[in-house]
Amino acid sequence: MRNRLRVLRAERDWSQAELAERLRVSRQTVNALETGKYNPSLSLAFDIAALFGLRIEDVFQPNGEDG
Amino acid sequence: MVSSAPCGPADNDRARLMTHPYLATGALAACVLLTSLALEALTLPPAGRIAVGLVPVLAAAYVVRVMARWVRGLDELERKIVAESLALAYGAAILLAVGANYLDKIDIRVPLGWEDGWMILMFLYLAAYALTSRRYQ
Repeated sequence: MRNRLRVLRAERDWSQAELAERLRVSRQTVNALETGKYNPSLSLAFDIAALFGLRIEDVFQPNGEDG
Repeated sequence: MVSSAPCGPADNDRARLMTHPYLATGALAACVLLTSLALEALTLPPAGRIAVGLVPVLAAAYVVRVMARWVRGLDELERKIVAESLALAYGAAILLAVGANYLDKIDIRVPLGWEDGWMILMFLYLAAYALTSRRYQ
């Protein structure tokens, strides 16, 4: 699964640590999400989408699907 | 009337200290050591020996409770890493135990017994944690 987390974070000029704090997860989790090494739970995906004011499908896309 | 105890920052710090997994594990190790020394050094009636011998069991139960609370407080990736590390460590420990058993059958003595199991498991867990953690960095 691909995601736009790094882009969305950069648009808001947030550090990984800042995003982690807002999501109440560790910085390692944010890094693993951004590098695609970890797919979030549905609950965390909802939290991420809500934080950026977007729908889940605007943040996460299945592999092979163009945004 | 219900009275509530004050719960300021100092109380929170004390509570965090009481439920820190590494401190709890250290306290358990100290408890096991002191109990062993006490059972060797003191002459106690059977009931007293049982009471002293049960202290590490209670401490171990407390460590299990602390660990469970600690794991529940982790975020989802950290919890996944801990779960994968435990699965790897237990799997490796079973493989080692089976291997040692077969070596024993062909008369190659392995200088480790079941009593060393928890120590081996701890090192296997630390190694598994380092490996698993690296996968998500």
